[in-house]
Amino acid sequence: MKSHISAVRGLSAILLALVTVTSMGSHAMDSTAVLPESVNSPAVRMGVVSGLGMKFMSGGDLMSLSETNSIQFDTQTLSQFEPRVKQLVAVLNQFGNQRLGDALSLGVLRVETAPEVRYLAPVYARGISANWTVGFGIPLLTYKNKISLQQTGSNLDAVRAQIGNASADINNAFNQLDVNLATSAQEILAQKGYKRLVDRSESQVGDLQLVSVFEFAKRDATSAQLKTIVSLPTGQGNDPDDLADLGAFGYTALENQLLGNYILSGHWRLAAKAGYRYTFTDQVSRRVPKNESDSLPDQNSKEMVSRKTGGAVFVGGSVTYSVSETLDLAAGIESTRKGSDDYSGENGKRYDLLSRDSNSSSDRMRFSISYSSVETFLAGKAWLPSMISYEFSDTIRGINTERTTVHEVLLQLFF
Amino acid sequence: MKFCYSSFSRTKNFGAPNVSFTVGCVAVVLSVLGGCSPDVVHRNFTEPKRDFGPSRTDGELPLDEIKASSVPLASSIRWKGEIDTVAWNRTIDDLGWLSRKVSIPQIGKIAFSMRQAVVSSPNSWENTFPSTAYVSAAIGESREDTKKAIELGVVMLDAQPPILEKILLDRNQKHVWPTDPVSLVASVEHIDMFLNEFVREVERSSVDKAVKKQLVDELRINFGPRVRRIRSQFALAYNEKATYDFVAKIRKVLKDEGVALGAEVEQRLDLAERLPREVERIQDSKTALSVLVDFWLAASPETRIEKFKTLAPELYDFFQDQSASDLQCIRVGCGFITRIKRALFILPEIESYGVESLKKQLAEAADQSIRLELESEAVKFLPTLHKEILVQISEELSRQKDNISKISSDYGTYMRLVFGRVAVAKFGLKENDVVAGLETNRIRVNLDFSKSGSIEVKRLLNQDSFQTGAAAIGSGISAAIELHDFHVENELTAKSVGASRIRQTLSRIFFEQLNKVLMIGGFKTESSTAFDSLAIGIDGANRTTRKPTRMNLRTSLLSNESFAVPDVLSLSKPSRQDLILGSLPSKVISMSVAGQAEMLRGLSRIAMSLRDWEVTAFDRTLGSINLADFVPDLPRSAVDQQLFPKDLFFAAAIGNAGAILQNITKNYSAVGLIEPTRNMHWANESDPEKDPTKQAIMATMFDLVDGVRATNAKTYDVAHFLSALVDFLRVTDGIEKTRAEVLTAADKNGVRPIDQIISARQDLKLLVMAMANFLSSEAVGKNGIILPIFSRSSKGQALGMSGEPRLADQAAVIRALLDASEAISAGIYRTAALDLMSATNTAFFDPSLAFYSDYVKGNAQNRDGLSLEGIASILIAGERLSPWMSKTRSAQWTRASRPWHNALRDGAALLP
Repeated sequence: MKSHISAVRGLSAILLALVTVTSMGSHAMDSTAVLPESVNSPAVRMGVVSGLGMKFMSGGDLMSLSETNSIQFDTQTLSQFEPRVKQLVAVLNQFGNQRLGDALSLGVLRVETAPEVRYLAPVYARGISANWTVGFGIPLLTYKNKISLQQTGSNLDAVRAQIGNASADINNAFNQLDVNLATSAQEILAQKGYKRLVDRSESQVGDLQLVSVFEFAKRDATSAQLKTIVSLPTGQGNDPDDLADLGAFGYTALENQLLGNYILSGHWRLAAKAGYRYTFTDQVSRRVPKNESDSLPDQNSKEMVSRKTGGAVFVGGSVTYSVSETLDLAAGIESTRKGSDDYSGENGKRYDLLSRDSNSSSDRMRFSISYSSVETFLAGKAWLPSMISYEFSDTIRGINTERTTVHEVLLQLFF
Repeated sequence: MKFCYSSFSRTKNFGAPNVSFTVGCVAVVLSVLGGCSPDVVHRNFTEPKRDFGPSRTDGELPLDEIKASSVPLASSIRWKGEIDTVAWNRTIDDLGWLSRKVSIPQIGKIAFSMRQAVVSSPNSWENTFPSTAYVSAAIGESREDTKKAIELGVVMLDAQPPILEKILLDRNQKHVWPTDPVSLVASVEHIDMFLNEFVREVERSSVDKAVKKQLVDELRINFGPRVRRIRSQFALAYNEKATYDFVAKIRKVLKDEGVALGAEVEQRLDLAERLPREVERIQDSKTALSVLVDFWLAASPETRIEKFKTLAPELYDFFQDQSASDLQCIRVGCGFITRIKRALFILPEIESYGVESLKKQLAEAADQSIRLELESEAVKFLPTLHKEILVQISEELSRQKDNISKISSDYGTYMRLVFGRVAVAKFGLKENDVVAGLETNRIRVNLDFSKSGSIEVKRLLNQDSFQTGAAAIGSGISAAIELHDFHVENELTAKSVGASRIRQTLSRIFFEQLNKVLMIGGFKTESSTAFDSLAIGIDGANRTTRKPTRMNLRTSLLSNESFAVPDVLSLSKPSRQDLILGSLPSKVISMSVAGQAEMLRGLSRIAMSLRDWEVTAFDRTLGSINLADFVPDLPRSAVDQQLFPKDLFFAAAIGNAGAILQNITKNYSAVGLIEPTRNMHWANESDPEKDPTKQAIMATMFDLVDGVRATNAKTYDVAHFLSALVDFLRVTDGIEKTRAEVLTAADKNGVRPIDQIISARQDLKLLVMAMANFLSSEAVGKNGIILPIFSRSSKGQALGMSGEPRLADQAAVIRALLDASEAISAGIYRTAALDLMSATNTAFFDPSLAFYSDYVKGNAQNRDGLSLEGIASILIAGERLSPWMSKTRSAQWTRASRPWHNALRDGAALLP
């Protein structure tokens, strides 16, 4: 269940990166340029984020969240929940020579999830001067998740058929075990004050971003910019009572990037970037686990804690090939490393457990194709300077992060 | 992932832009991205085990190694020598079952013949019908109740006439009777109405229920229709023109309906019928005088005045002065003076009146007066009808009171008379014929199908005493019930025995078993003393004096002492005649698991046929005998009941079986429980709730010898006890539907025996489970076959198994495990049975014998060959297991067993 939480919460970093005003010039991907002075540029970014049902685990393996969230209720697991199961197992093992007790299993409780996020981010930018552009954007998201809990593969009836109905005690034990795990899970969630795990379909507003791009160096073939992004917590943060919420926003952060562009020839252009994102410490409501095995803390464990979100360092690079004066192809890679979060509180609880697996890293590949009418407009061949691009990106490696496969379309106008 | 980066690094400058280059770039990038897609690592969830089928795969039968010369024939079946009776009986039972399972009736014939051999030789303690336990119990058990019932009945009968008299008087006062003469039809209608109203009032009255029913039935069902028939016939009589025909018709109707009129009325009716005929015959004054005299004598004074005086006033005055004898004399002309009177006075007077005229008037007068006479008499009678009715009812009640009083004064004789009639009519027994009783423990047998089929059984006497015991008695019941329920009718029909005779035979067989049930648990004898039951106290009290405590089914179940029929009981003639027989245990009282198993099984089997909430074969034989058919002296309604009340005998059988099972929880419990630590404790010490460390899930049983538990348990006996336990569970399944009052009535604490049985069933299922665990786990040796002996230390430690494995053990355990599996719906025991069968095939199947050997292949003890008991037992084990075997194994089993089926069929054909 804990991993299910991360299934959607881990989106935050990705979404933050995706919906920021990353490209305000006429070039695709990281090959960024500032707007000319007094030029305005409204834009819309639209995208679909899929693949969230897969996660790179702490060891780097990519696994289905449906599988990682699933729990196999064999006798060992059952014994953790109910110590008396050990007694039952011992008794059943004495019947015949089939080790019926050891073979007992309630099967697997599968938590099937299919999260998908669609976003639309209106962005507005304006060239303040020849080398300084500012802008802002706010993402509007639609979050859908088909969630189902299913129990499969129990052999309780098969074992019971072997034992028969002679012993009231054993019958009673079997009856207690003969529960629908999915129903029980929902009941336990309800008892602990969590919202029911059901299909989700909701819209929300993300964190507002203010962006400044300052081009501090420019020659014929090279340029360099400093991009600063300020995030304000206008979006919904994590709801400690909701295991399936998006919870990707609600951060106040400052991010600085250094970007460099280098034109190899008339067709080829290289870009590189490096940056650091600092998130301000804030106060959030969290359920603090009692111990390592407390995967579903009780409602009374909820309290306001101080969250110090780990800083994120990222680097990236891309190469763009201009097929013509209007069409660009680009490919790139970027790598992000985020430190662990740090939680603290005033009640002497295990706040450290909230930080588990909060460090992450991801390597993403990107590919884009863009059409720009800026050059042709300047040449008087187009009636409107604009740009449209499509970008596909995917996580190819990571730790403690969901795989995010993104299809994004950007529409940008200049006037 | 390395490939991903290397692919990326291999991207190169494509030179001048063109469309094909662009498409190429896109394709390369897409392929690079595709190649970089990380592999998904799947989590492996272990699929839980669901197939708990047999774990052994060996056990293929080497059928191809069997030589044709080894295939068993009928001549292969031999059984000769001194054996325990239980082995013989058990084989009868097994062959009966096998016959039904494989649908070969001839095998049933062998079973039938085997029992016939026992019955027809002096192998059982025989009794004449009146000296059977049943008759003694029927008299003894019912004497007090009957006496009380009769006393109450007499008081009741005495109390009825006053009540009925009052009803009749009231009814008579309310009824408006005719005062003037009315037709006979109308009179009968009044009677009918009166009776109907009387019946209705009786129904509403406080008249005793039985009397009321009898009276109402008599009046409504018998008398009412008769009255209505009389009425309609009387109506037809009025159509007769001739008066004598009318009278004759009336008389015939009354005679046909059995109405007695009394001598005086009959005489007058004779005259009334004769007079009109004589009138017709008047030819002269002499014949006219004769008729006139008759008329005078027949007429009432009123009629004489009305008819005679009008007709001939002088003659009226003359006749008025004559006596009846004088008139008779005048009629025939006797005496001198009378003759003168007749000649000088009477005859001329008649002639002067005119003979023809007189004849005509006489005819009219006779016709009118006779009808009027009849109608007047009837009207006169009507107001006295209630008195007549009361007289008749009182007489009948008095007669009944006399009858039942006589029965009470000599109840035993009366009942023996009744049972004598039953014995003749329903059992086909003559006065000195005997019925079979208890079997001896040992018999000498000679079963041989080598030349001509013969089955002979002789009784073995031990020191000239007749010794019986639990195993012989119990197995005898099982075998008899199997034959009674399924085989006797077929066999006797095949021998062209008539249906009535077959029913008598069936009744006799069941009757013999009921006697055993009664003797096991005891009953009150004819002299109101307790019968010395065969079940005795085994706790040691009075053992030295050899006067054991005898079980009383009514009270012993509440006792702390254990009761059981021991392994050996010497029978003797009783000290008193009413005790039917005497029995004494041997010096060392032994109560073996084997004996108790047979007894439990026998009692359960007979109880199965006595389940009163189901139709069983019993209903067609003993169950159909009604006491009322043999007690004509008593009102049918009072004795309209089964002579062999099914529910009562069911309760007796269940009670006796329950006593055996109750012993498990008493001080001398034979059930040892094996704890996981290998410590053992006895079932009567078990209290898992208080001491969870002693929770055991395996149980075995030990023989009791002189109150001391043996240290060795025999797997074979444990298996048999387990099967018997399952039989008990089967027979008590649905027991809540019984109508047996002794089971459903609550005691002073509000506890009903039936509830105790239902509750005990759950404990017994636990015991079934524990014993099955023992057989499927503890008793299994290294090679998967059952070892015969389980030992414990004197300090209560389980030591383990030992002994030479025998085929009989394997067969018995397979059957017991299947029984357990069915009883508690536990598949694991069926699986264990399948595994055991595989191990048995491997260890015991000997191609040179074309079948199994008695001991593991190669053992020297196999030289005697397989006995019929062993053959039947393993055939049953295989047949029962066959549906659960794999197709291949099942087909093999069919091939291996069929020659024995054929051999048994051929052997049966040799029997007479």
